[in-house]
Amino acid sequence: MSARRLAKVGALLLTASVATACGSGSSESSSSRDAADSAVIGVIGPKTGPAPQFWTETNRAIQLFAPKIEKQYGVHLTFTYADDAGTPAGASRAVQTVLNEDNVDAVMGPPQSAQALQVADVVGRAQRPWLLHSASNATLVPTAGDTNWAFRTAYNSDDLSDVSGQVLFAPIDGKDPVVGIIYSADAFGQAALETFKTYGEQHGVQVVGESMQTGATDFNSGISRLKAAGVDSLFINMTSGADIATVTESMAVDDFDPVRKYATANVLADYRGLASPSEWKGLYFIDPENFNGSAYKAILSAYKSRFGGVPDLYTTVFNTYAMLDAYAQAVKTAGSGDDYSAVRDALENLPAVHVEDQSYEKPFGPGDGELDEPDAADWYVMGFDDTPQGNIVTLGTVQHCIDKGC
Amino acid sequence: MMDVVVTGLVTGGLYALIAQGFVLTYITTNTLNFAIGEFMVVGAFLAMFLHGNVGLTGLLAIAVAVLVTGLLGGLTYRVLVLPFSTEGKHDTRWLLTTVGLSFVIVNLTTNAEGANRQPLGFGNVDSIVTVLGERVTGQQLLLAVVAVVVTVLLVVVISRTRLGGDMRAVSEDAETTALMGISPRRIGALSYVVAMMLVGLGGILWAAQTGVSPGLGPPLLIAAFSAGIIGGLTSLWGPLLGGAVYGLVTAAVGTALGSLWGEVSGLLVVIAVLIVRPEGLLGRRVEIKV
Amino acid sequence: MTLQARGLEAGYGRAAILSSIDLTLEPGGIVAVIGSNGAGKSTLARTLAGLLRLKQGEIEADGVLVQDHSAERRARSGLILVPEGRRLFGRQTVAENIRIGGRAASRRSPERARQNVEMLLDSFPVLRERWNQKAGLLSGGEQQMVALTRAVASEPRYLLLDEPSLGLSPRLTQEVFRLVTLIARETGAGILLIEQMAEQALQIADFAYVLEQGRITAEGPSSEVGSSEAVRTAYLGK
Repeated sequence: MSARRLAKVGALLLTASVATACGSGSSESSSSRDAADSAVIGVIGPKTGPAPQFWTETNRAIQLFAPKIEKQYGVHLTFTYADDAGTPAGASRAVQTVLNEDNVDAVMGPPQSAQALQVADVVGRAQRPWLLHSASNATLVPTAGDTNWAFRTAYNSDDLSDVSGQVLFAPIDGKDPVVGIIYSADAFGQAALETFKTYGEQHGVQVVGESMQTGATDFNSGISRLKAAGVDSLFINMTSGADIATVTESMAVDDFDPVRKYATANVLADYRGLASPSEWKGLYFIDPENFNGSAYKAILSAYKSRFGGVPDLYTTVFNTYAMLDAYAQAVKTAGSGDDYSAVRDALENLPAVHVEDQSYEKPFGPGDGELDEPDAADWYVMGFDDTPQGNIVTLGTVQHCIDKGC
Repeated sequence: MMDVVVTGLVTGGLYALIAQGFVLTYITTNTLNFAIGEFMVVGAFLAMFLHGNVGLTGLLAIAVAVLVTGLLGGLTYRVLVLPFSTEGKHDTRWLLTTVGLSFVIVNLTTNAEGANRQPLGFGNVDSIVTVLGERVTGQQLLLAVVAVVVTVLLVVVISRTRLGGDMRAVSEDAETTALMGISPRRIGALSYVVAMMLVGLGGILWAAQTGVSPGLGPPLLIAAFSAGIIGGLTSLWGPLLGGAVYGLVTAAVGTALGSLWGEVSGLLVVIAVLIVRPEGLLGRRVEIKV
Repeated sequence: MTLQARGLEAGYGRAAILSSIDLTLEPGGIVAVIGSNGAGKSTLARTLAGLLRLKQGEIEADGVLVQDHSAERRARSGLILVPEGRRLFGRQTVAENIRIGGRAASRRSPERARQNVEMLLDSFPVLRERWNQKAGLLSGGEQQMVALTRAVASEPRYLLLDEPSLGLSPRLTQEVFRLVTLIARETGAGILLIEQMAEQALQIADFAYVLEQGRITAEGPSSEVGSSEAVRTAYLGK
């Protein structure tokens, strides 16, 4: 066969296969959107790559709670999934797949901010509701802008820094503290450092930053520097619980025990298996939810009986639940998932979002896509008890800890 | 000041132990296993599995895991290094195959075990000990002691035993060694086995303290490679010296300027050594044969 | 009981340097292969020893086809090569060099090999004085003696010598050839003496081949080969 001939046959075959693929694809989507009160959600997450736990927890939360929520509101939700491989390029591919091939009514994820940033424009241009159940970086991924219809049930990083700041910058024994922050050498860490620095300048409090490489073998030199700078109020802003364990181990080695030490809620994953009770004594974290509250208890026990064990990412499970509840109500109000702007309006005007017995009144609004507010009275301070497994204990609200000390 | 010296030297022990895995294979085969970080991961996961799922005692689990890791090293040499280093010293295809292997292992372990760091659950000297008045973790001290003991053992074996003589001969002239009835390929495979056993041991003991994850390798690969280059890849004492230098410099600069600068300074030392004395501080200058 | 090469073809890459080589070597005899630079002498030595795979042909040692055996296996069965330039382990002592040579004999007759080494050392006693020196520090002549002793330690049945006279003075060359004769007589090994120094080589050899551009162009008892007009003009400069 001549080369020209071969090319022609090849082109023909290609055209035929594309045509078949398109045909089957469209018939599938149309059948799933026949019924009223139904919607298709495209879920994007890192099925492969360095952080598959985000994918796993999102998936499990959907399996666990979607049926119940569908029944509760009388809607029918279909989920299609796309792997972003934990990379920006993967996220770009994944969003094309869910929008173009699956023709979804809403996009959920990606759960990590760097990947979410990659898809923001595309989702915005497609004018679909965008459900951020995990990506927390408000600078990279803002909500309620003109360009996208994003709604976030995760806390956003600015709020976290804001509330953390309120507690970390509070006076110690009537005097201003020296605040130290250990941050990862990435965008997440840089953003936190900037927030702290600004906060420090505004309040005239000295801030000392030390950056740490993820996966570093030890952090002794950073700890020596923080100790030498006289830090007595410390925030460990690392993404992985394992890195936080490296930090607290180096703190034990250097005998550095500041009056106040906080970590991000990432301390929940991996940390306790790698550290010991003496290292987490007095180490606290904050979250908008009380993990010992009744809503969390119900979620965790459902999770445990279905999957055996507790989630790696508590908050992802909880926030996925909240997101499903919000979206299902909005689809019910709008009548169908494919009336995108009606769904968006319904989300903005939701009277309340419910997670088990907990309610958030008027969670969103025009220009407000954030479920949580940076109000110290609404956030909780938690830590671990001195058992080897380190059960979570709630010390009170952030406001309580600021006023009375924890 | 003293704390920097002690911390630096003690952390250098881990780097030295892993770097020994580079030196051993380099002197006998002129090749390096760039999947060395992933062999640490494999060793640690094997030990975790043997202890947690099979129920072996800690020491036995470590012994078996170290042995299996070593055998996998031998297999790697046979399948991925030897066939790709047949065209003399300028044939560096083994570099690509071993780097490729590291990607494969990272993917396999990530898919099987997830990316999170998991506790090994045993083998950790969970205490803080005082050396020369400075505090270090017991595990790091253990690693440093193991590195020194292993180095001394290797030096004795290589300078005093018949096998050691064969290894020295292969390192000097593999082809002529074959003419003496000794198989350079067997010596090479054996070097890979022993080297990856050491790497596996280092990986297990390190993971016992910090947990095991597929991402354990890269930070240690850089540090161990640096230690190897600084000390010299042709000297068995090189890793100890290189590990000490790298550990000291990163600790000192890290304490003075911040830990990121510490890591950068370690790499600057590597570059300086490569410029001034490319064979490393203790390495043998490679003569160019005319 | 012979070493035979039949129809050898060998070379590097695609190019064949040797073609249609047939030769025979018998125990106790000395056979010379003479040829000028670039005739393919080292290629022949390396092919017979197993350092270079042949493209065609057979090598048979005492009735066993060995062309697929590795170099180390051939060495262990007594097919020993002293390579061009001697290739001692320069960072090891004379003693260590000779001891490592014994590795090839260890499964056959290590005791006899040791006796032969003693015999050779008696005939070249300066090596005993150099016993614990690094081999790389010896003179060229001494190095060649160590290389021969190392080969004898391997208890050769067939000993291939690739240009043992290379870089040596005429007097030292004579000395080396004296030892070669001694080795043939005392160990009973068949010696293939691959040489450029045709005149001296022909003096001690029983039989000779002439290698030109990768082919054998003449062969016969050394006296005949030495007296042939072609060889005399080409190699003996007469």
